[in-house]
Amino acid sequence: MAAVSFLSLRAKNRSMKDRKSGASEPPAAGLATDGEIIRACQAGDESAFASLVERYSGRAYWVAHGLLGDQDEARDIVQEAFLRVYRALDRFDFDQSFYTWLYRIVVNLAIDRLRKLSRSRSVSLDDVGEPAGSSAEAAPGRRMEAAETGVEVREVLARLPDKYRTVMVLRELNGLSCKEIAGIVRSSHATVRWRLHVARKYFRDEWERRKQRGRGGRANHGL
Amino acid sequence: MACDRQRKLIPLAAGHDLTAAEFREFDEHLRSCLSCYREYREYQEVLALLDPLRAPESPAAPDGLVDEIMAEVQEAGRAGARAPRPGSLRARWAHLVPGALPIAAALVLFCGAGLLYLASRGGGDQRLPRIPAGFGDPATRVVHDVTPLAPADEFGGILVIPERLRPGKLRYVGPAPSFETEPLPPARLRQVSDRNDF
Repeated sequence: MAAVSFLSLRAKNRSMKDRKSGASEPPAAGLATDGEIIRACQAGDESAFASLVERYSGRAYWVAHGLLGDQDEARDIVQEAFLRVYRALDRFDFDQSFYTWLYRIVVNLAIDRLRKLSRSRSVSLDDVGEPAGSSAEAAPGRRMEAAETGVEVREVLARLPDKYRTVMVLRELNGLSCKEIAGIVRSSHATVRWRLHVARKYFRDEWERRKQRGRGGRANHGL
Repeated sequence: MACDRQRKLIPLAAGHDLTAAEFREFDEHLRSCLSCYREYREYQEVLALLDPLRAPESPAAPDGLVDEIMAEVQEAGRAGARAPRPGSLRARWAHLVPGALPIAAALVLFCGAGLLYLASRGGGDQRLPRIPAGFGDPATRVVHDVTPLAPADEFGGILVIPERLRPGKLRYVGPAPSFETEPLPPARLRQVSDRNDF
């Protein structure tokens, strides 16, 4: 009985989570490939660069937001990342994919920013969830509860060491595969899997500790 | 034992990150181990907490972000942060053959260096040797294994030609480190000595 439910749950979750990053998908008919756009940029076509920004700024923003948990910081990081891309586009290595390069810049900038901020700041309710109404149809009480849970989840994520948080965010929040993450963080596939293992274990243990503390606190309050 | 081994796979299994072989083994184990199954479900429940934070499938950039980025980029372009303008030579080269520009630049540098070298060989008059001042102490004069270009008493035995290196090449041997220059006729050697005040 257990195995049957496990398999069905697995199938359902896989379809939800293992979505493509989108970046590696071939462009639809009529759209230029990343390589073609980059060559046009190198030839001085600024509108070509705008199409790169259009294509990747959303995903880059979500990577930055996942790591930083702050909308304004994430916007800053994405701007800075594209500026760096623009400056270095002449030296782009066509052997690697553009999004791997862009995400690497975003991740490195976000980690640097995190170190500067030293993450002492608490996560605000405004920063949790999608920027554009993700649960507009939910009841207000439920939304509040979800937002509070979101704050807690972000706090637990923020406690992860950088390298573990990076793989957790790229895998869990952005749906990238371990292979894609390996390219971004310049590590082996095995290393990424190991970090993911540790990160999930840490995340689960920390969450359980919080729940126990919460229950303990409520029990003491009741006495 | 098998349970220990499979238990270690639970965090990866909960996120669907097992290989096909690992998954077969894990799946087989889960059918017979309630404790592992419970832990696996716990992991899945905890990871599901992240669902509301997941990026949408095709995330759009927040309002105004693309414009902000392009404004920054145009500003950087005006400041010359990145070069090629449409129609520029660099742009055309980059468009035709990626990497051709560095090769061409290296070729030009190489040819330039060659021309400079040839010019320096032919322009001996412009490159007269500077003889260090203060020399002249007979004890430091070295005339060894060379044939004097001029009588030693005329030049103090200092300006010499090392024939076995390159016939006719002027050489200063003295207290300062040796140096060489291009061949000079004997008449020019006198000028050299005059210019260097010895």
